[in-house]
Amino acid sequence: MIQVDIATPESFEAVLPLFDVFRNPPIPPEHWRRLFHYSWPCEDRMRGFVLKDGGRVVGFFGTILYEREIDGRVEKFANLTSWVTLPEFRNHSLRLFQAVMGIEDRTLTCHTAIPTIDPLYRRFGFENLETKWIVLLPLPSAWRPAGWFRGRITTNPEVIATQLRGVSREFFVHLRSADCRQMLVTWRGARCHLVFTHTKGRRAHFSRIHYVSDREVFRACLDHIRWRMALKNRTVLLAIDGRLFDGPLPVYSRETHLAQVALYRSKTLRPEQIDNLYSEVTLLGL
Amino acid sequence: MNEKLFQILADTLGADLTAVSEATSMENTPQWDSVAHLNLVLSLEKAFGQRFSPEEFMQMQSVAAIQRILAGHGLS
Repeated sequence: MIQVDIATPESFEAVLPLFDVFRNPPIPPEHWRRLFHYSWPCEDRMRGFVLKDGGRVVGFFGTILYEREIDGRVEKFANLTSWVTLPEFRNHSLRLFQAVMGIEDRTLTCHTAIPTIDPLYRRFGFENLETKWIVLLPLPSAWRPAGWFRGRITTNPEVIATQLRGVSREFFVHLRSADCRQMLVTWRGARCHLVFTHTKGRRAHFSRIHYVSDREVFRACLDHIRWRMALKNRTVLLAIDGRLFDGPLPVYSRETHLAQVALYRSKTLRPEQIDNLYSEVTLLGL
Repeated sequence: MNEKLFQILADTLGADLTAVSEATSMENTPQWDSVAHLNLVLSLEKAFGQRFSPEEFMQMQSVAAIQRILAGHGLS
């Protein structure tokens, strides 16, 4: 008999073989493990849903659960991830989707809705979350060469750990073991914490920023940040979610509209209030 | 209506028209996966000039259920 059950941290071993279909790029088991064993506190033990044929797990739809304080309220999230079903059971995979759509008390986000599935999500109330990136070349502006920088930029985790406070420090600790990198910019007494991933694109490797704690500092130090990221990560391009970037485009940059947009469904939040920090993007380094 | 429904099902599922019957359902049709289901509902909406709710979308997992829902929209 085929049925849907709630996945828990203990489901990891049974679900792991299903991830074998995700080979481009290959993701090691210890990264998949992060979807089940979080590095942040979470009272809810649900990690998504499993499709079972008798006692055998034949499908999975993951949910990465977390809470954030936004505008003085605790908001609950579920980032949707890794919808996978063995080929011979695909005619039952809609049950997993139905179970996930039944989560009514959380803001749902999905960063990997392929174009063929995109209309399915929209039918169930999802809207655009992330539609464009600002792509920057690692070239400092002619009138502010990188050498003149009076601030400080570090990617050293030990240094970052001693300097961050409050919610930024929580993000740092929770994501330290994830497949993302962190940077701290100190400039005129202010600090800007950045979280980014390193992605192998089809044409070039690029760094992708997911979190900016101080947009003013970020904007002021952008030339130096992109130059440092290029050197540190050996990436040609720097991409930033358009929601995180205010004001006119800087020199050596352009807007890129995404073929595969990120989606969300929320009763309380707007796209600009939602980031990618606790998601498959940072946990799996997508 | 059944003729039109069966033809849409056969086209969407890549099946022979003779293989579609009143008993056809997601449960007994391996190629009726979630993507095929989405395409099926979109085709039905276009063919019958209707818009189905998310609840109806989820219920349309067999020929019998589709017929019932179409009848609920005044199509029989």
